[in-house]
Amino acid sequence: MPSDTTFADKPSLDQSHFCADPEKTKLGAIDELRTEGPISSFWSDAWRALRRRPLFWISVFLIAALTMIALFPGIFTSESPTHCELGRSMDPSTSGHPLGFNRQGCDIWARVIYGARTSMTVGILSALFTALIGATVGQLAGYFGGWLDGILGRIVDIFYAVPIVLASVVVMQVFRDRATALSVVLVISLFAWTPVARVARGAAIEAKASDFVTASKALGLGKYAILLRHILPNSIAPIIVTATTSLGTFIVLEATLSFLGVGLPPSVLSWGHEIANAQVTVKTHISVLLYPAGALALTVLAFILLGDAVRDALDPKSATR
Amino acid sequence: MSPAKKDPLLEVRDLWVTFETSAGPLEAVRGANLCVYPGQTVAIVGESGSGKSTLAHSVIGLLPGTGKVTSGEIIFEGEDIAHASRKKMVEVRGARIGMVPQDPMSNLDPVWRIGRQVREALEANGIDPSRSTYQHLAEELAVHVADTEDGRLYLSTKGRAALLAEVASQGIDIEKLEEKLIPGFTTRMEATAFLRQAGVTDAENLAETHVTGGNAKDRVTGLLAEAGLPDAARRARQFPHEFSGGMRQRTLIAMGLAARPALLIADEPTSALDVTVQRQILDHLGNLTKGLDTATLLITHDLGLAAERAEHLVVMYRGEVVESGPSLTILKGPRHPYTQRLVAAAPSLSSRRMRANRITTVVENTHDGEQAPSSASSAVVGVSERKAGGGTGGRPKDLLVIDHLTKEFTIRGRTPGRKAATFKAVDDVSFTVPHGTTVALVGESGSGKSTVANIVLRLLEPTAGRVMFDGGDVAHLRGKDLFNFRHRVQPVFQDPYGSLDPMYSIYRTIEEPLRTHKIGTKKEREAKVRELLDHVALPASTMRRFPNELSGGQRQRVAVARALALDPEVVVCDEAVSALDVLVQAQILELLATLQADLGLTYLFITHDLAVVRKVSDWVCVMQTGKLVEQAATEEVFANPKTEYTQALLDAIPGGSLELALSG
Repeated sequence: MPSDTTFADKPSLDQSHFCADPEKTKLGAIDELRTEGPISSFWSDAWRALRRRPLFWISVFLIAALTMIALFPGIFTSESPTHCELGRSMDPSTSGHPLGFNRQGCDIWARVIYGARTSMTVGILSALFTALIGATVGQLAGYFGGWLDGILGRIVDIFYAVPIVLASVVVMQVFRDRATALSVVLVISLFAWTPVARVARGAAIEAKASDFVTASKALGLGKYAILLRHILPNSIAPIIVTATTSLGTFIVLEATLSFLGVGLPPSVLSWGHEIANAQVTVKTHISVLLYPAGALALTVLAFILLGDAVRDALDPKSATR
Repeated sequence: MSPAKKDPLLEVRDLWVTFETSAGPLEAVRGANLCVYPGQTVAIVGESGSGKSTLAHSVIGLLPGTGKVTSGEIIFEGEDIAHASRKKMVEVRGARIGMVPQDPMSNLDPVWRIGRQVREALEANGIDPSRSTYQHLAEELAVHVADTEDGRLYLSTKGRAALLAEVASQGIDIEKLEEKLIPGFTTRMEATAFLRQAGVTDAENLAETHVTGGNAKDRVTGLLAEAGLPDAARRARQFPHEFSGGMRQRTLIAMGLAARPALLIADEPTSALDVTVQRQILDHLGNLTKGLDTATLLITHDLGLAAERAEHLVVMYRGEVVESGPSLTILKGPRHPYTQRLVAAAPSLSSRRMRANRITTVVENTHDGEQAPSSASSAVVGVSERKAGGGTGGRPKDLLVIDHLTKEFTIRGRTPGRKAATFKAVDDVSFTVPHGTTVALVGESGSGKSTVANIVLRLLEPTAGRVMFDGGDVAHLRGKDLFNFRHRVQPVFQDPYGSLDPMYSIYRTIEEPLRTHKIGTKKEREAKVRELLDHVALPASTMRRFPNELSGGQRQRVAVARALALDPEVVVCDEAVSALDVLVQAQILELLATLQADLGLTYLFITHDLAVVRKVSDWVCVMQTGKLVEQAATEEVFANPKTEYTQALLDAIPGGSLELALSG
């Protein structure tokens, strides 16, 4: 700076040449690089966003508790859910039987506790299977496009058009009384994978058009390698979000099927059965209905909260303010 | 220019704008001062993130998100509008301060016709487009209503037809008049003048009878015509998707000026457009605002463009106004180090081919916690093995030969039974790329330059003709040969945000080519990645970072490092610096020049920007709508362009005319 240069405090109204004092407005390096601070990969960023949300921790706590109940029901009650005495029918709560007894004289608390396993198994496995089927179909259709997309797309449309409860009712007839939790999972997965497939297809189409995929092609990477190494990792977030948010509905769906009597056989404990059986006494003893229904609602709520938190963390664009 | 005699139209005094972010408050504008006099054009220049757009948006009260004016005053027409009520701002917006937004693609509603959207701009500002009261009066009195400023009478579609019919009956050729008489645009006074010119005897009487004011539709047509849209009446009935980018921008200009504001804010109005269109539109906007005596606040990152269009410059850096003053004064004698940097880097203002000089000061804050990258062993497939191939005298051999290349695309939506319509993206293009040199392929969007690049990279197959690389036809490569070809020819793409996989760390990104080609052990690969990062002047600590943590320029360096990982001979740069700020652009161009000298690289440089071409290339090929229209050595093209198109491209370089003024 030549010494005769003076720096005005403020640009004047006459619009003469003004220059800020370079001592006060220091120049940084061009294109400075931030080298301190934590590494921010997609997943670490998502985790940072997730752990700041109280709702996430509430849902995690609930789901952890429910998982414990599902795995080790014996810890939570010493009663056997199948030990029923008609003599105790509709008895109120007593010590050791906090919720009292239902019409058959079974301990309600024990039946609610033991029912958790079915709901958790069906919910989690269905979400897993729908994610697997949907991701595979959607990714292949979106990535390869052309006739494959045409065929897979129509298949998705067909399954999407089928009302899931109705279809499940019909298909469950195949199993009749041999139905297990796994057969319910299979039937749900068979009809519920289409939303995931659509999301996975969209994500594949978006990722396939990006320059980094073209760059990988120019590197000589094969088309399946590109699918596995670039397309899939970039689609996994929306797939996870869709699967988690629909997990709650799968739990409801199982309860619905069992309630209708086409789900699990009466020998398998399910909140759906409990609700169905409580119908008869709903006018006189509403609590018998409320306990299993409440447990069901709480479980579904926990998973929906988790799904919401995960969606906000993985897909910041859709985040609610 | 002596603006001091009037009161300023807009005065920004010590303005601070703060955004609330999750990481605390961010001061986007820090104590900015600026003033605009009526009818004057003032440009705010700065790089992205300098606060120039924020400043402009605070003037019109449209700060995005959590932005707030925390202190200072914005005095517009004598009133402080920085803290004005919402109602007051709605009144000011559009009516007194117009705005031409940056992105013409997203700023028009795709479901409404153009005409309706322009009409909305009129109606929203309480302007009666048909001027019905006034017209009624004019019709009643049939003759004399003074053509005052606020009571202009426009020609209507009906009146125009009647007028033309009457003129024709006098036996006068109406062809020229037809062009000049535009409904909703031509006033009674103008019509009289045109009629006199054409030799009509009772011009005044005719104009008084027939020019009695148009309806809203006519006015909309007139506004569009005024913004330079040809065939405006028909265009007004079309939808935005039927418009090109330039036409959309003209529509937005028409809307911005519809209510005749005193100040027009133009936020990078032409950045998204081709250079020649950009020039046309800026010329037109300049003439229009001058004619209407509208002051313009022009926001741009291009110093050349700003200096050419504005009388007064305001240079912003990191939220502060670092320098302001008359354009030429600043260009000739920039005083602030940042402005000096800008003037030195502006591609439009420099005219020499950049030669490699060692980069030493590029990244000043190398992290010292990491091992110095230069110590990486050269045991790995050495980059240094292949030193400069050129410079031994004589013409180097042609590494790439593009031979009568043609590429046709099938247009979608063909009807069965009929032959599919095709579109020639590349039409019989031939040129060569000698070893160790840079050949630039220049053209506007749609010229087919990127298609050529993709065929050279063998991402597309040519319809006819061939690309020869080192004596072999690229299209015939299969299996192992193709894999080896990939080894030798690598791309760098335009979009720094899309060319790196967001899921990959920088290390994994640069290592990917090595892993794909099974080069070296894990340890050797890591050494090579360090070496490559050193080549592109990034500290080794960058390795563990992810693309979202880097700036556009840094990402582009990583993309260059990835391209260089396989020690290629040819690097195809497809608009590799177009998306970057001027200073960063200059830095990357310098890096590319250095790498060329060190590694003997050959570049095929695809760009729309002739100013950049001048800095980097030895040979220039100009493409227009698929055809190669001109090719010559760079200096030759700039000194002596052979085709009109090249001349137009050269003229369109922002600030090109200033160079003459400066050197003269």
